[in-house]
Amino acid sequence: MQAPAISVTNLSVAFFGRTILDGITTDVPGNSITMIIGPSGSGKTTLLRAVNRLNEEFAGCSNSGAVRIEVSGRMVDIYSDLPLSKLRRVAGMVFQSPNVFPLSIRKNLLAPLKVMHSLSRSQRHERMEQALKEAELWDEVCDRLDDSALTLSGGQQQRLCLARVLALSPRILLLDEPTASLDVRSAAKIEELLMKLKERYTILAVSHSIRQVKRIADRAVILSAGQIIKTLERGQLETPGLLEGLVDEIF
Amino acid sequence: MNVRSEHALTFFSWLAAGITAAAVFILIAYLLVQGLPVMGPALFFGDTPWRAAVMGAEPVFDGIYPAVAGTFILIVCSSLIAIPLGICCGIYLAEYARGPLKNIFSFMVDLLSGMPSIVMGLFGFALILLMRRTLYAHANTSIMLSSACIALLILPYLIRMTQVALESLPESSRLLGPSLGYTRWQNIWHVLLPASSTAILSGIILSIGRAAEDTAVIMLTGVVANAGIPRSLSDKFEALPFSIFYLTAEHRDELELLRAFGSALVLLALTATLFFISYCIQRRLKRRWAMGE
Repeated sequence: MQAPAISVTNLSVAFFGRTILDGITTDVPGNSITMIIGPSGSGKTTLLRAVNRLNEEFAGCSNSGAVRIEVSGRMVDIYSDLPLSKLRRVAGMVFQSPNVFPLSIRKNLLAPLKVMHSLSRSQRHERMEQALKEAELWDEVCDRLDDSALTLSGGQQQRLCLARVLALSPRILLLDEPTASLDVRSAAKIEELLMKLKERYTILAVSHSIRQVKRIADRAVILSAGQIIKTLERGQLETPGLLEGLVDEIF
Repeated sequence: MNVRSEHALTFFSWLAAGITAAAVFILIAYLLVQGLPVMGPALFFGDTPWRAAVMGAEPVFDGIYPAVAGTFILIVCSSLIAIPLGICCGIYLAEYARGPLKNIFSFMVDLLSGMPSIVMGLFGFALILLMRRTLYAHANTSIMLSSACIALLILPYLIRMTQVALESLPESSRLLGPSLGYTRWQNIWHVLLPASSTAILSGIILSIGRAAEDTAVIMLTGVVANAGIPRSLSDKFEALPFSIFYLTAEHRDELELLRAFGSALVLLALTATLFFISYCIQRRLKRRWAMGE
């Protein structure tokens, strides 16, 4: 297994004093897919959002413990060593339902690049094309870049969101149930894509589906009531009935 | 709920909508019937040749042209004060203010929106009296003072509409900017404001309408029956709602009353034009945001 790309130590998160995550300690290995699974309200999304500090966008949030991520070969603390805006580009997030900007496909990728980076026009376009290719969307949209992103199908929109994140050159991808709102075929396409993307990125994803976890996860973190119940590695995930049994217990 | 009350409720809500639509229709039709016949150069310019009147070469005594100009200037000036202030204040309340401070500010805005316009007029009037006794002996009511007081009057609409528009954006679009690394202000400017521009526009339209129709404030702060076109912002001025008021209250013959209806129609047309202009500006801004590069 790879060296950790994300290292969480004794992390607790509370909103208005109500504890959501309680003493989480876990490592996410680099260049692999780690999936968080657990019943609703178990803190899956909160754990994901702790990595890019998105929890702090909500009122009443308090954190304790440490989260460190790997940036150019060094583990750095996300609270003290990284500017917030840099952290969120290094750890790009894709949400449960595709939230494209109500803009053209082109502008969906160029707008954040324009805001975040001082790149020339041609560099921005280069990045856009590269990101769309990486998200395997280029062939489908290259001749309609000026159409509204809302004209794309759900699966395409989700891949556009992924491309938008990839254009900002992240190291880590945080995915919050990225296939939950999609039909089976679009979901399969995304899963296939994630299997390729893990070669270059570290993927931490929340999943709602045991079968999905068994299909693509290298490591599964089972969460219940804000605590990690069990962590399973790829080999254990292939043991018939093991994951199902554990999940049955907590649901 | 049984079928009969279901039907009754459907009927009543249908009826309520119908009554509203009918009332608007009757109102406009009545204004048109009464006002259209007097519509013409004489209504606007009286006996003054229109070229000379528009150029300001000759004063207009018996027409509503100065009132149209006065109302127009009043709306533009008060909007220039209130729109930036109101939108910024709305942004502050929605995105920055937290805890007790937010409650205090919200309460102030509520208080301001509940303030009768005559009180605002009285405030402006009292301000002039105070200034005369203290800083500036020649202080007088003027179109500038009226604009400032009207701005105060329409401010709460703009603040609330902006605040509500921003706060009602779904979580997914609120988090989108930050998740891409946008700073708070970048998120507001590039994501949240464009997404709520349609709702903010309706706040602007509402406040323009309010600025156009209010009579109580301007009566105490600078409107005069025969002021002519203001030469500067410290001049007194005429305004359409006030013209309508005195034409109606002091009409000596049928024609003067009809001219009041004509003026009302002009006021309606003026506000409709301003609505349309703000609609075009919003559409343009939104398109620029959407297309860009």
